[in-house]
Amino acid sequence: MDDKEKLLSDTLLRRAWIVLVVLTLGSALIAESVDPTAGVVIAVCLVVAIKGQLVIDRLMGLRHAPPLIRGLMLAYFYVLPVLIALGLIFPEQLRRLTTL
Amino acid sequence: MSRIEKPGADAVTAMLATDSKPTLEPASRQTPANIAVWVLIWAEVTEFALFFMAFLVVRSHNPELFAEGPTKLNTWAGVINTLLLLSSSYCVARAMAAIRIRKVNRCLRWLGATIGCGLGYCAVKVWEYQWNHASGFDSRTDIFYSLYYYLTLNHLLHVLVGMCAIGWAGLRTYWGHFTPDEHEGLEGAACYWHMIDLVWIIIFPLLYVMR
Repeated sequence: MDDKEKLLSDTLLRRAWIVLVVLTLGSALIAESVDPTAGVVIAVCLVVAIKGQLVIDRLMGLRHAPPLIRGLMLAYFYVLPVLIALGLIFPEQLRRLTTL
Repeated sequence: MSRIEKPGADAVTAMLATDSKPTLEPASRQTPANIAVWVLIWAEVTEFALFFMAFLVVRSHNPELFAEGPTKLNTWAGVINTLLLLSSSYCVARAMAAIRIRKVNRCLRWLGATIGCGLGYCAVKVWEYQWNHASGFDSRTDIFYSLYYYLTLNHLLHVLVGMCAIGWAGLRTYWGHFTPDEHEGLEGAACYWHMIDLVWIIIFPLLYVMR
């Protein structure tokens, strides 16, 4: 492997890490300063999905893995944030659904 | 004990035979690590997903407690731990990149940094629990704190297991068990560690950010 390729790969990993740090600090800022409206909940869940995809594709290196392995991991970060957002935005409906 | 930093004769032969070269990226379309590791990872993330669903259901039945609870948590402890886990994932990714080009010493340094981040996470968690205790909160304060302690302690246990796995993979790297072509054990430990980070990516907003 030549130095150019190695440098590019190191740079991609470092960039992914920096983006993840920035997104985390952004979430912390939201936690400290904004009341969680539906828009904020959706934005935070979107950030979770982006962070998940970055870790799975870049840091975990599943970008070129078999579709089943990558797809199952990505599904976790596409489905769960949606369910969390729905649970947080519509708690009354969830309460009714889960009352025996 | 000096360790090999350049490809050995057998590795060069293998490279020529397959017309390939060492790469920082995992080989395309190959399952990283053993399939058993992926079954374990999927069992673990499913377990946490069920916890998250239970958290949402309990939250919907106790809106006041769950609106008030996160405001009393130490958000900065959550932020620092998120940064530590993301950094540890970066370190383990660099360790994997190093072993793929037979840079054993570099790989060991990055694995050491991964364990360092894990130790930092544990230290922050202890500080956070002490801070909670000093503020008058424990697992029996209310249902929010019961779930908070259950989720975070469970995750902490996974971090400790992950540190043991990375430590063992580091020892095997030091003993020369891994090469650019054969490093499945290290890859398995790395994938498990990334899983721990992925779960925390959801725990952090659920407990500390959303009120």
